[in-house]
Amino acid sequence: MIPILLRGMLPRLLLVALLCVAVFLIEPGFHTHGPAPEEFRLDLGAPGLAASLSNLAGLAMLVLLGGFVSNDRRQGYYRLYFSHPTRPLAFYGLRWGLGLLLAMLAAAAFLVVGQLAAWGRFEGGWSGLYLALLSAIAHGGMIAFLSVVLARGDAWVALVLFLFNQFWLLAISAGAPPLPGVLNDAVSILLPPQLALSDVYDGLLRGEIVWGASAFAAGYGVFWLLVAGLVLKLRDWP
Amino acid sequence: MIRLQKVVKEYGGPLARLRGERVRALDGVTLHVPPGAAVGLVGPNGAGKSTLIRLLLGYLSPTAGGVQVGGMLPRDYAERRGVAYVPDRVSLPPAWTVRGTLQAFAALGEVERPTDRIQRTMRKLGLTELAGRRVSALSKGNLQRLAIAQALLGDRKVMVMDEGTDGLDPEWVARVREMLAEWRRADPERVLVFASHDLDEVERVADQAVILSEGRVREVVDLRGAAGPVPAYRLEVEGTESARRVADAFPGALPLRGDAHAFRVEAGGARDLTRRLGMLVQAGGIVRSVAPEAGGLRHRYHHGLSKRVEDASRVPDAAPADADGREEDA
Repeated sequence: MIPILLRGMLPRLLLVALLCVAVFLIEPGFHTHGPAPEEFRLDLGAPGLAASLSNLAGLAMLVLLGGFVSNDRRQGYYRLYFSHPTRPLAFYGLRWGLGLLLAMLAAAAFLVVGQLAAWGRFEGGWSGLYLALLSAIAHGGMIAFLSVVLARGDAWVALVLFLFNQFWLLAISAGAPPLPGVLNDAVSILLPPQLALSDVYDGLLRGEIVWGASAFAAGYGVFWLLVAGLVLKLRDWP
Repeated sequence: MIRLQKVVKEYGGPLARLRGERVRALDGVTLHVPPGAAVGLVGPNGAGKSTLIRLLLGYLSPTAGGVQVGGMLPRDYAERRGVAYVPDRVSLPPAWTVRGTLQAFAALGEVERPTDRIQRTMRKLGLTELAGRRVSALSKGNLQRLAIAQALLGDRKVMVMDEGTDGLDPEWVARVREMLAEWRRADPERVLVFASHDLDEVERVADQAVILSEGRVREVVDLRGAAGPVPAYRLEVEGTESARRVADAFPGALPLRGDAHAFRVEAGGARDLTRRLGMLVQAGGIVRSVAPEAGGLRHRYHHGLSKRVEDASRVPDAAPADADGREEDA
């Protein structure tokens, strides 16, 4: 089954490759010439690539899994799929797992190929894949939930949330939360955990793993994944 | 093998309920399909045939009542054993090829020796030359054959077809009919449930026809058993003398309107028919033609549908019959 699912994901893999090129073009570490100022040395070096890896892995999950349930429901593909002895949960779980694997492979390839292309040598930064994994799980959980509950447009909704989240993080980092108190906290909890990922990133630059933030980021993804599984199990098919 | 007990299925969420806009697609359907039976579901559009089929596949849950397939909930049955299913509208990813589609379903269905099985099934359904063609480039008939091919890939005990031969030309309809008979012969426990608007086809394939209308079982017609209707034939003879002798060989023969030498006659079976024709010939009658009368089910169908008019003026929960031919307690 895996080769068939992989074959179905090929066009999306091409999109992920394009995404890698786009992230390469905007990654500041790959386009800084000459010695970087001391305070940005880590950010612009191999460890700093973790931020790009995180964004890349999160977006790759949206690209690879956008519509992975909603499309089958809307188009009616499920009718023939699940007349065969196949559990929908296992089928979509496998597709989600493959999406995660491919997103991580894309991030790893980006880490190595990007450095070789930009710097002519590989300087490391494998720890950045840890942040990429957390981001992929968090965004993967979100897209799974959206794809199960929405009839269409789940990938676009997820993309808007992803972009909004970047703006949200910027506003909060600048000390200007867009909403008052509790509302601000509520939105921060519902959106993919950029603040937690940011804490993990800072920890990685210091050479340590921030377990609390890591657990929150992964827990966010797992929570929505479980809710998606439950809805998938209980809901009628159209 | 398949049991539906007072099944009600309503569409529409809580808001529709508040507005009183919920649609009742099935209304107290009770049905039992024993192992080895072929049951045809007939009824006008909106009668509830497709809803019933989706309940059998576990894609829908009943609002009330119970559905069991092989002693399990339908979804559990499909997930464990699989159901050979041919839908009315075949939906497949357009980029898949014919061979790729069958490979995918062989993998999903955990079919043993898939390559052989796929080759054989493609040959049987006339798809070998289309093996590399994309689903998006298939005609409706070819797409329908592909759907039938994927249904026949695995060794299933239950087959469910929803207008499964829709879009096929008459030659392929006949071939598929033969395939279904072969499929049933291969395992006498196998159950076939199919919905169709083609009453003649239902008569040819099914053992029982369930007449549905407005979500209710109006009548279950036994098409094969002893309790079923006596086979009727259209008999045409030559000359007035022959016509006069028909009633001796076939008591109760009815002259057909518009043709003085044509009759509707009944016989208990092929032997009885041969015996009676022999009597007629021996008495000097000349037989021009004899053919099974089409539309035995058609008559019952229209009779069944007319019941809904009567039901409208009666108590709503009339006792439905089951496919065994027994009356269920209300």
